[in-house]
Amino acid sequence: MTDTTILTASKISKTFKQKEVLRDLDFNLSENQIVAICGTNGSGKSVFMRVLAGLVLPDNGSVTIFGTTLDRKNEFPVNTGVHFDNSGLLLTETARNNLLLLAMVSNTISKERIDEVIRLVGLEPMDKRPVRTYSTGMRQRLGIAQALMEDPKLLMLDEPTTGLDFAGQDWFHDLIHELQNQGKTILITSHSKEEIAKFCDQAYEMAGGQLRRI
Amino acid sequence: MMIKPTANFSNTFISELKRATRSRGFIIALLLGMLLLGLGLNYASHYPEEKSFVDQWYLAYNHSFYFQMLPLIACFPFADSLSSDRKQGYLERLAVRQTFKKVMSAKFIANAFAGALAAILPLLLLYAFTTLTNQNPINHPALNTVDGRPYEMQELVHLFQNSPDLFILLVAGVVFFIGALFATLGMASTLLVNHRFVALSLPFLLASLLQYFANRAKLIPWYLAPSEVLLTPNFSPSHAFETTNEMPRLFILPASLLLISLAIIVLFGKRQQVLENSLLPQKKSAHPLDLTKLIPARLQNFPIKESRLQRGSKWGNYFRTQLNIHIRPVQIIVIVVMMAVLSGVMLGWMKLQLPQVFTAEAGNAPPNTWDLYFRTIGDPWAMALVTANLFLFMVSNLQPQTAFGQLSIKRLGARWRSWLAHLGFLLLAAIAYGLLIFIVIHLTGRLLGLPFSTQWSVMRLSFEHINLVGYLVDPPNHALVFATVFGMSTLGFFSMSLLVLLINTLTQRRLIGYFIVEILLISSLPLASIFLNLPPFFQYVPIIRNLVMRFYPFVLRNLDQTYTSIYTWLIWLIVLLPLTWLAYRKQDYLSHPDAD
Repeated sequence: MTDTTILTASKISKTFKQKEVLRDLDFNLSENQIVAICGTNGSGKSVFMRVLAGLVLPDNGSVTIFGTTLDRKNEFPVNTGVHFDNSGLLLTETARNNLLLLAMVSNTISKERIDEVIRLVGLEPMDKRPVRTYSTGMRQRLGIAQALMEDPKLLMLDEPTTGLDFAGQDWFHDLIHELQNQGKTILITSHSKEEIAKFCDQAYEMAGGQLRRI
Repeated sequence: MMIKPTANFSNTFISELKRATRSRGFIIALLLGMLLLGLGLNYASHYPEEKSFVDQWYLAYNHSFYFQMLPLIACFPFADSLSSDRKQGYLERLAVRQTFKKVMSAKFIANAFAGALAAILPLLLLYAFTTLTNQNPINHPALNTVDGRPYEMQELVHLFQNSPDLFILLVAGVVFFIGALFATLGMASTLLVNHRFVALSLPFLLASLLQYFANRAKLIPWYLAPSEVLLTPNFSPSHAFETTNEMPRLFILPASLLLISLAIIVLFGKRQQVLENSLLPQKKSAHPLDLTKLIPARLQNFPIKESRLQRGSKWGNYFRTQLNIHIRPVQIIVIVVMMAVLSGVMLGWMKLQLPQVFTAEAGNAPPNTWDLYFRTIGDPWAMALVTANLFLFMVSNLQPQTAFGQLSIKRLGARWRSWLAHLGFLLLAAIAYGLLIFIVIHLTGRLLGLPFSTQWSVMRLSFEHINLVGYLVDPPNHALVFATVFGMSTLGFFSMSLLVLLINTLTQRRLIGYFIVEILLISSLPLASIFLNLPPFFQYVPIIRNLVMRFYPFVLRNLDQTYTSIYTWLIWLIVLLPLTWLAYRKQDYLSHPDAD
C-alpha cells in the first residue's frame, strides 16, 4: 500500500460565539486508508468534517485535498463525497427523486448510476414512498448513497452508523471495506471507540479542539 | 431524591419582575413608546394653537398610532422570556426551587405587569409634559374636530370636557390593562410554538388583523377593533357606536384575549409539556396536525425531469432544482384561493361604497375586472396583511440552507453561484406572483359578473375608489397604469424578500426574517401617517408607501412622484444586493434538520 497524502489540514482554527471549537489543528490523510475520528458530543468532530468539506470556513489555517487548497476560488473539494449526521434529504420526495435532484446539479451522473447506487445501499429505486416514511436506518443508507453517487475517491462520513441496527452496521462495515478494496479513502466520525476499532486503519480522538492519535 | 421547593411565591415574582423591568426589551419598549408619542406630538403641533393640554395629549396619543403598536410595546419587555428560559434550562432551575404552578404564575404576572408598565409610562410622561408646558384653557371650539376629540361616546365626551385629568388617566388605565393582556397572550403563545419571535409577533399580527377586519373591511363587529377598545376617536363614517348601552361590548375583546390566553395556558402549560419540551429541545413533536400528511403527494411537488440529467450547465440545473424544491402545487393553490377570496371581499366593498355605479346608470362603461385589480392590489391593508405577507412567507425558506441544500451547493461548487441562483429565484418568484394574482383577480371578477374590457369604466371618475391617482386615469391607457402598479409591487416584493434572505442568512433561522419584515411592513401603515409632516425623503421611508399608489393621508401623489417609489426600491436593491452577497460569501453551513 503506498502512503500518499491526499488531504492535509494545517493549523485549522474555528470559533463560534466565543467558543473555540477547533484550535490549531493539524491532520493528514493517506490514500486508500480508513481513518476514524471519535470524540464526545460537541467536541468538534462534525465541525472539522464540515471544514474539510468546505461547508464551514475556518478562521485560520488551510485545507488541501488532492493537491487543491480550498479558498475563494475552490470553495469545495472535488472528487469527494460527504454524508453528515442529518441525511440531507427532502422528506416529501422519493429516494430516487432526491438523488435525481442532486445529480442534476452534479451534471455527470446517469439514471442507471442512480438506480445502481440505490440498490448498492439496499434500497429499491422504484419505491414510490416519500422519504418521510423511511426509518432512520433507511435514511442513513440513502444519505450514504448520495455520497457514493459520483464515485468519489474520498468519502467523508459523519456518524454514518447512527440509526443503523446491528445488521445494518455489519452491512456498513462490509461496504466500506469493499470501497477500500476499490481504492477509495474513507474518513468517518463516530461516538464509539469500540466500533471504530473493528475496521479502521487509524483512529484519532478529538478533544479540546485538537486531534490526538489513539 | 426530590428537592423540596424552598423559595416562596413573592420571592420568585419579585425576581422575575426585576428581570422584566431591567431587561433590554423594557428599555426598547419605553423608547419606542416615547418615540411614537414624540412623533404624535409633532403631528399635534399642526393643530390650532388654542389646544389645551388634554387636546395635545389626546392628539399625540391618536396620531402616534399607539393603539396599533401597543402589542409590540407590551411584548418587548418580557413576553419572550418563557421561551428563552425553557431553551436555556433556566425554567427547570426555577421549577426545582418552587412549585411549577407558582413559577408559571410569577412569570405570567411579572410579564403582564412589565408589559403594562412599558405601555403606560410613556403616556404618563406625556401627561406630565403637556400639563407642565400647556396652560391654555380647555374646550376651545377651535379644536372641535372629528379626529381631535372623542365625539361618539357621550360619557367620554363629558369626561374630556369636565375632568380632563381623569379622562387621561382613564385612557392610560385602559392602555395599561390591554397592554397586560397582549403581553400575556404573547407569552402564552410560546407554549404553542416555542420561539421567542412568536411572542413578539403573534399579538401584533392578531391585533393588526382584527383592526383591519373590524375597522376597515368591516367584516367583523366594530368592537373587536383594538382602536375602539383603546378609546381613540373613530374615523369611520359608518360606525355604529352611538348609544351608551353598547359600551359593555367594549369588554368583549379584552375578555376574549384573556380567555384565549388562559385556554392556551391550561391546555398547553402543564408541567410535563413545558419542562419535557425544554429537556428535549430537538425532539420532534408528535403533533396531531401534520399538514404534510394531509396534503396528497401529487400536490406536494412538481414532477422532476429526468431528461435534465447530464445536460445544461451546473448553475442552470441548480436553479431548476431550486424551482422544484421551493415552488409547490399546494402553494399555488393557497395563493389562488386567498387572492380569490380577497378580490371577492374587495368587490363587495366596492358595491357597498358605490352602489350606483353597479346599476344601469353606469351605461356602457360599467365597472370591469381592471377596476377590481387596481382596487385589490392598491389597498394598503390588504397589501400588508395578505398580498405581500403571503409572498414573503412563501419565499422565506431559501435560507438557512437545509442539509439537502448544503449538499447541492457543494456540488454546485461556489457560494456566490448559490447567491445568484437565489436572486434569480426571488426575482422570478416576484414577477410570477404578480402575474398570478393579476390573472386570479381578473378571473374572479369575471366569475362574479364583471366584464373584461380594454376601456376605462365609470370608476375612472371615482378613481380614489380603485386606489389610483387622478393623472393615471386621465389617458385611457391601462397598460401604462398596470406597468406602474405592477412595477412598484413586484420590485417591492423582490426587495423585501432580499431583506428576508439577508436576515435569515445572518441569523441562520428561517422565520425570523419573515417576521421582522412583516412587522416592518405592518408598522409602516401607522408610520406613513406619522411621517406626514416630515420632509419628502422621509415620507417614502415607510414600506407601504412604495407598494401602493394611494394611502391615507397620502390620498394624492403628485405627477413628479409617480416613480419615486420605484427609485426607493432601487435604493433598497443597491444596499441589499452587496449585503446579501457578502453574507453568502462568509456563510458557514452548519447542521440543520432535514426539511420537507
